Amino acid sequence: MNNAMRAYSALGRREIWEHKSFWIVPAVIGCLGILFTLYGSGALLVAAHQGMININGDINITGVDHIQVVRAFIFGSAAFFNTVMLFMVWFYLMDSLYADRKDRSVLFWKSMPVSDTSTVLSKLFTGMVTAPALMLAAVIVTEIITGILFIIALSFAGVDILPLVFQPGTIIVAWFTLAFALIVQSLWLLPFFGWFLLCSAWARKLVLAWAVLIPLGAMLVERLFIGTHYLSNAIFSHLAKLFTLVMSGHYSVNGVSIGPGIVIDGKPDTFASHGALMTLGSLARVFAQPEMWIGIAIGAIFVFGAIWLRRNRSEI
Amino acid sequence: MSMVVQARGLSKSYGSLRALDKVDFDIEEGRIVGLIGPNGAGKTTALKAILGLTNFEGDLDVLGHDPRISRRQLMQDVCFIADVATLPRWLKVADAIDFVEAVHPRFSRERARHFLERTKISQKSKVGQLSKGMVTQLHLALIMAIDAKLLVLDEPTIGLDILYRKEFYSNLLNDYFDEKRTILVTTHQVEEVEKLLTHLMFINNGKIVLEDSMEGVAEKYSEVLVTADKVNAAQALNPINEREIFGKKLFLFEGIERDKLAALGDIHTPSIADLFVAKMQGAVQ
Repeated sequence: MNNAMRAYSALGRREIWEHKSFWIVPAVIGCLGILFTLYGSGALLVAAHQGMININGDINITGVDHIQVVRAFIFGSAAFFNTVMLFMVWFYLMDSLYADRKDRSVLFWKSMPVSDTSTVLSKLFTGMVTAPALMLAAVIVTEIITGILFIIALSFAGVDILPLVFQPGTIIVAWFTLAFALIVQSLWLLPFFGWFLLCSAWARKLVLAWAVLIPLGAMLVERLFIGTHYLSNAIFSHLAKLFTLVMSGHYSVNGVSIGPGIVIDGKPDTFASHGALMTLGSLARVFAQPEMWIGIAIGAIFVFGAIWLRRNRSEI
Repeated sequence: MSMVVQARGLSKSYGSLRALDKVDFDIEEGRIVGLIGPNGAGKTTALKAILGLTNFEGDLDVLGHDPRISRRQLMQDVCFIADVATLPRWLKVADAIDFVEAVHPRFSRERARHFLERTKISQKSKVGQLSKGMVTQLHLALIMAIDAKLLVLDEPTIGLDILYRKEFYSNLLNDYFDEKRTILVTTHQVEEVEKLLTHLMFINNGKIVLEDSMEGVAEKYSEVLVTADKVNAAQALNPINEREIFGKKLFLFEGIERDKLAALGDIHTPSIADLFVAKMQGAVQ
């Protein structure tokens, strides 16, 4: 490893030393998931043993694409991890350039030959890449264990779903899709991340209050004095689209929501159909949305602002 | 002798307050310079300017760098300890060593370990578990393991008990300082650094009021204990300060040859603290 890489990796590890919750919380959620699955499987086994479940002949799951079920399991069990991770990242970013000013350790960090740009970007990288990566690792391990538990429990109950769900290709592609989705999600949320960093570098106290009150105040001013609500629309619809556009694979053309390339009867697929799960293709199409790039540009401006403040504010 | 710090017309204002007012000074290699001044005199502002922690007007050259522009490069050659306990509480000792080793090209893990072995600090401890004195020991061990050219200390021993304070400076002098290194220190506890310094700088109201070597100070300033009958003769020589001690008068003279003073009484070199008081009172008058 050359010197620069060593320094960057140390900056990255430093964040995880300080914020161990980025791996502890996903690990705890994973363990809870496994415990619940164990309990569920146990209950199933007991029920099967007592003859409460009686299956004669083959089970036919009709009307459901079992590959979609596998993918739904993989994406669905990641959803809770993701929600918790996003909250952790938001609070982390708001704290990241503030906590060391508050406890004065910024004087130690600044006594090292590390540029303010590297410092700020290491915090952004932790929120955008490291935290999702740690979460993904926990998700994959949890899914493997809970999946195996389910299959074993069902097999004792007389249902052999292994041939149906053991689709290594599908599973691996789904995990890749999940990883890609986390990257798209981070980029989609960059304006929010950048804003939190900016507030964190700027506020003397109460970062959270400033981070929330400034946009809220701007919305109020717009509504009261100009009579429009472009800002609130932009912010809330950008957040909402994280779910419709990134996570479900829907995107919108001329205001019409479109599924991942599935066209039924010449009309775009609806949200409720089975096509609503994200795919690599649907995620790639997010990059074709101007809103993605506008968001990234705004986020970049905020990040530059945070770097400038980190370098130039003389009072701690 | 090469120049480590060169300031020309260094100024900094906070609103209407001139923290530094067109200050010029030089710090040469191999010196231990004490920057002494009352609270709010501009000491910390001067240090911050040197370390690239604040903007300023005027010219400032630190080891060939403008600290405003190239703090990162500068920090390869400059270390600083800004009062005690700026190490974050969550940091583990072993991780602190790993971190500094990874980001600092001039850090030696062996040296850091060598210094830490003399303390009771365990590599597994977190900073938050250490006493204040131990945190300073750790910080000093990390800094002394860096082969830097300039070390800046801003009230490094404030809040420490006397044992740690003594040890801090003796470590610095015995294990760190040599003619290739330069140390700039600010402190309120002047007596502690008195024997350490090679040069002295007094700052008051944003201006440098004294800048000299310790030998220069000893030559220029004399303290004379004068008996009552010679007080008038002493006053005629324009002392910069006078005070009473055990019924006798103690006069501080600036720039008067010792031969002339010998007739008045016992001559000493004033302590930094007494000189400081005299200079600051002079500034007020």
